[in-house]
Amino acid sequence: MNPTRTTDVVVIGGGQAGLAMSQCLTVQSIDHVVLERGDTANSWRTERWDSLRLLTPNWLARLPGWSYRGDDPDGYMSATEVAAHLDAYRISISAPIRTGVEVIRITSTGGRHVVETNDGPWSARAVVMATGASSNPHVPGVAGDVPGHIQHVTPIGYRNPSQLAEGGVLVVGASASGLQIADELSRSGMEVTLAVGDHVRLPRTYRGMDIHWWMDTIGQLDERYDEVDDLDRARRLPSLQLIGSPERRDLDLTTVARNGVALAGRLVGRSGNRAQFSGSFANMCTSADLKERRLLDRLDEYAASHGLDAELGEATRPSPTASSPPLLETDLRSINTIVWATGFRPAYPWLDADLLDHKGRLVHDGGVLPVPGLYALGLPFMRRRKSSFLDGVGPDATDIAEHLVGHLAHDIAHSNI
Amino acid sequence: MTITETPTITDETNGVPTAKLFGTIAKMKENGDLAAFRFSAKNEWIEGTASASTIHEWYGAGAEHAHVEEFRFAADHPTLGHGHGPTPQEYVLHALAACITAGIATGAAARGIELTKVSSILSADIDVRGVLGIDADIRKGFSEVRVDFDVQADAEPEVIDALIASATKYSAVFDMLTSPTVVNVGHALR
Repeated sequence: MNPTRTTDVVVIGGGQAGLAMSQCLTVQSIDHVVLERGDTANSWRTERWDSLRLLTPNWLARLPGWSYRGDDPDGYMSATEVAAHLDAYRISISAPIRTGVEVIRITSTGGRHVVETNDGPWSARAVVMATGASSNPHVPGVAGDVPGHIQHVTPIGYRNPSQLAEGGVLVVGASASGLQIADELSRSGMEVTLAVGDHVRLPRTYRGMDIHWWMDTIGQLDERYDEVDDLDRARRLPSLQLIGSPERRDLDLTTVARNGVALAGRLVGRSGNRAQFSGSFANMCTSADLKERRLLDRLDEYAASHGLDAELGEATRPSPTASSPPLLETDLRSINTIVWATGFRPAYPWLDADLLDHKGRLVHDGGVLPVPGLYALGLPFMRRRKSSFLDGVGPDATDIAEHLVGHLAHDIAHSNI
Repeated sequence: MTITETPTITDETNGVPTAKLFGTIAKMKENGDLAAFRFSAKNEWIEGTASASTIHEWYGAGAEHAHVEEFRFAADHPTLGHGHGPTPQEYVLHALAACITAGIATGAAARGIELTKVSSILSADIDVRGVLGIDADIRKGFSEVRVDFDVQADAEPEVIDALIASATKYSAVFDMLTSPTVVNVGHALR
């Protein structure tokens, strides 16, 4: 086992957040190391399905000191391309990354943090946990209550339709992952039922521009965590019903239903051989349609007040969600696979339990933990609406670096007394 | 100790004490035990298909409480009964409307929207061959419930639509009707 090595800052995770943090620390000449459990951008290499593309256009992949260099700024990167984008970034900033290093435990005493790993311990004055928001799929308890013949798959384990057993598939969850997977499975000829709860519906493009261009332009992505009414709700918001495709197509409940996906309400339980779905489907769709209309109104107002109407396309509104009556139950004997696209819950097995709240969530104020010198990065709406986006982690990293510099300076002043 | 609440009409929006509402939410965020409520009803057979429930005491916010009076509701069967009251199923419609309407009033108050009218018309379909045991494939309860609101307020139509959708989403009775509930029926009162 290696002896304890010392540095100023340990960054855990070598994805977009860890690399952005590393760049900010390098700029400030702060000694640090980036510990990565796999290889750079590990999740993008090993935990994404084959056809996945980013939800955001390529130009919206800015990182501190880096931007998209390819020839398709309006396209959407595949997971492999994201990994290459981040690899090039790592090289350009000479990130001091150590790959294949798993963190086991963080112990904080007297202003120092000991990070135990499978490669020996590190002692640091600060630790930034940049392990991402999408590595630990959340599977609801009802999963343990379904018949034993059913195979369970999460978006992390899903690769392509050929991997699944023949027969019916139940996809639970209709945010980006669930809707995209249901769409792909049904296009490959499988019988797909999609259980739909709360969802956020948006068109891929509006008035000729990508929806993310709009949200970036009107400043929605920059909304700060200390400005929103209900931060808890904003942080739990499901991912947008979008797909990145070369033809920039829309993906919503109406389109998948047209392709043969049977829609159902939220999965609420099992009774005998039947999966039961909530009767709230219509209200969920009404809410999503209303919120979509409200955002598009906001975009039109912005366009009008900024004199953009002449340059932009016509304001064609999406039709309200159309579906035949949703299923209230389905026979689980005809389902051979359940895809649990039910979101993610970041896990911190290396942290003291008292740093988590009663629901196991990290307690932090915009990424700053109550223990001085501990930080998080890359979590949903951590400091901004775009915090967990490839393009959004940079400003958060800059903020955290600034706080961290203050902490280290205070730490030194304190130790000199 | 049982606390009897005397309802007071405040001059706050829509008669909803918003300060109390927000205060309660804040307290329950701090202490989840305060959110544990228990409602109860007593029911007594009258004759034939008629019975009446009385509702008085309830538990919540860490204490026993009672309504200002014991409320009484009688129900009967539409064809076999003697007109003691509407059917139990119709009480379900009343419960749903009352629950969503309360949500509209509080939701509007929380957003500072003054309501001038909230009315709703409810209808529900039921194929009684289910309850009569004529066809085991027919469900006993409602096959579909429709609620049509007429809400007038100093707000844009789509704000009102959002108010209705949100009140529906957060309605306890809507949840009980749309998702399964564990119901244990026994014979304990011997």
